[in-house]
Amino acid sequence: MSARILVIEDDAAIRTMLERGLRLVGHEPTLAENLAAGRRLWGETFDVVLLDVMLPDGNGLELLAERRAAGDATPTVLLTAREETQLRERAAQVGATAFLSKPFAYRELLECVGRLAPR
Amino acid sequence: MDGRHVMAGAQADRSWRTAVGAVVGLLIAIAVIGIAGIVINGNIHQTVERAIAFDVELEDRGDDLRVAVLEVRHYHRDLLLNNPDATRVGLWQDQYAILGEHIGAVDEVLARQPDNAKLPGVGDLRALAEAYYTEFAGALQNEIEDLEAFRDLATDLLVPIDRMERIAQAIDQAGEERATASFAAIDEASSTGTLVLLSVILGLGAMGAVFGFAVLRLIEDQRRLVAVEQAALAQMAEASRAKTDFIADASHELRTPLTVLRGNAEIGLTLDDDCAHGEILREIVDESARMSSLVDDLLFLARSDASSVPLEMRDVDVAEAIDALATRAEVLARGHGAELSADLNATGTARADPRRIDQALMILVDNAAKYGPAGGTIELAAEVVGERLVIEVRDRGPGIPPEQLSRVFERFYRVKGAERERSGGGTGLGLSIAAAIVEGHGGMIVAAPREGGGTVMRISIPMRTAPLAGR
Repeated sequence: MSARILVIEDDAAIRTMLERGLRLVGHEPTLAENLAAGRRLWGETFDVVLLDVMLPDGNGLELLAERRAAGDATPTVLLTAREETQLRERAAQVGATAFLSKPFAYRELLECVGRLAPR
Repeated sequence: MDGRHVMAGAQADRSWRTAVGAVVGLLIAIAVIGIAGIVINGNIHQTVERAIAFDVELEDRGDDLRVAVLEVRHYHRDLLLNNPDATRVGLWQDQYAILGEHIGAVDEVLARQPDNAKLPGVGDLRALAEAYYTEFAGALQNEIEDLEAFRDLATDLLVPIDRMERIAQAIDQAGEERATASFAAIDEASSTGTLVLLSVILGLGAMGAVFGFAVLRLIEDQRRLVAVEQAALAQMAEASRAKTDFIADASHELRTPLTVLRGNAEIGLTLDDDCAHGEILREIVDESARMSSLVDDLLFLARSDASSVPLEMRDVDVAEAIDALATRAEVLARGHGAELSADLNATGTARADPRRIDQALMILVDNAAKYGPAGGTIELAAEVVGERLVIEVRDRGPGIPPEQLSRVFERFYRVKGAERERSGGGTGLGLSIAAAIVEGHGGMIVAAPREGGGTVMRISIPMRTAPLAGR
């Protein structure tokens, strides 16, 4: 089972690790290093989006809100480093599908993607 | 305490001293003034008394004496110029008797003379009067027949009467002078009294002004001190906030490389679990897990320091919550190869953050399982004592030496001599986090030796006593 996954993450090392890990099990990751690149790439169709919250040119939640407003229902996993209730509440309101708190286990990542990607 | 604080404190101290000095000065001044008042009053009293008792009386009696002498002369002239009949002689004799009384009265007053002032005496006057009387009375008896001779004698006798009058006048004048002097002294004494009172009032006013000024200064200093304290507190709060922000940022920054380390190590293991460096990769995974717990713990403690413990309080059904907690505790204990025996008797409602209470108890159970003997049993007991929920976690581990019991809640404190399983993921912060959570609930956490060996960790938090609305 292969899923097309958009990874929007500003940290190069994490981006590389995610790409490596996802490719290893046969997924097809597309990488974006900031909000602008993510916005441009999200025009295509993806099975799952992995979205970092803190990006150099803005907050990942802004982009998610835009996409949801445009009627896009792509399952979106927020990659967060802060376990803050307020952030989670806001993310749920905006329409986030799931969360992965850094540092997450590789197994958690695969389970999450496997669960959300359509069969 | 910084420099400004010390200076403001010293200023307030000086103002206190000024105020206390002013009050003491005021009291001493009042005492001195009171004594001065008594002395002045005594002086006035004495002067007045003397004036009334002697000087004024001498003046009065002297005046009366002079009048009496003049009266005697009047009746003497009456006898000289008119027919000296029995009626006129009687009147003269009566008047002479009155003169005698007045001489006696003046004599009596003079006998009470309070000082050594040289005053004219009445002795001469009395001798003159008696000689005059003897001679004139004799003439009135014997020579009345010879009117010419009688009138000559009577004319001659006007001379001693004049002398008597001059003596009486001198006494009267002396009395008058003394009385005038006395009244002047009274005036002077009361003027002095007024002056003293005026200076007293002025002194009191000045003292009051100093006192008022000192009090105002004191209030001002206190206000400044409070302002400095508030500034210092604000500074401390700011510093504390900055520290928390720093730790929060640092935690965030640490989590990024941890994600990479852990992710890559796990990917490496997925690629080839049996390779030669599989063990190394597993250690990297374990240590990055341990480090991420450490980051979480540090963040939690930093937030607990900055303000209150970050708690999400709600009403919790104690029986239900502890039941769920016991299930999780059992899983945790089993994970360490230990058994869990639960004795749960608590019911009611507590105001708590169930997630944090769970975290605290899992720390206790985790410690009990790690330090206890392999395959041992951990006891979890809960009951309501008074208005508090008491939960105990008991183990049969090596126990904590008594002198270290109070220190186990310190950050990074590790019980000396305790065998530690490093790969177990402990951070040395667990018990301080448990303590912060329990204290954030207004509760207490205590470590005690267990009878028969081992340790009892006891937490107690307040139950909700007020009835719940809507139930």
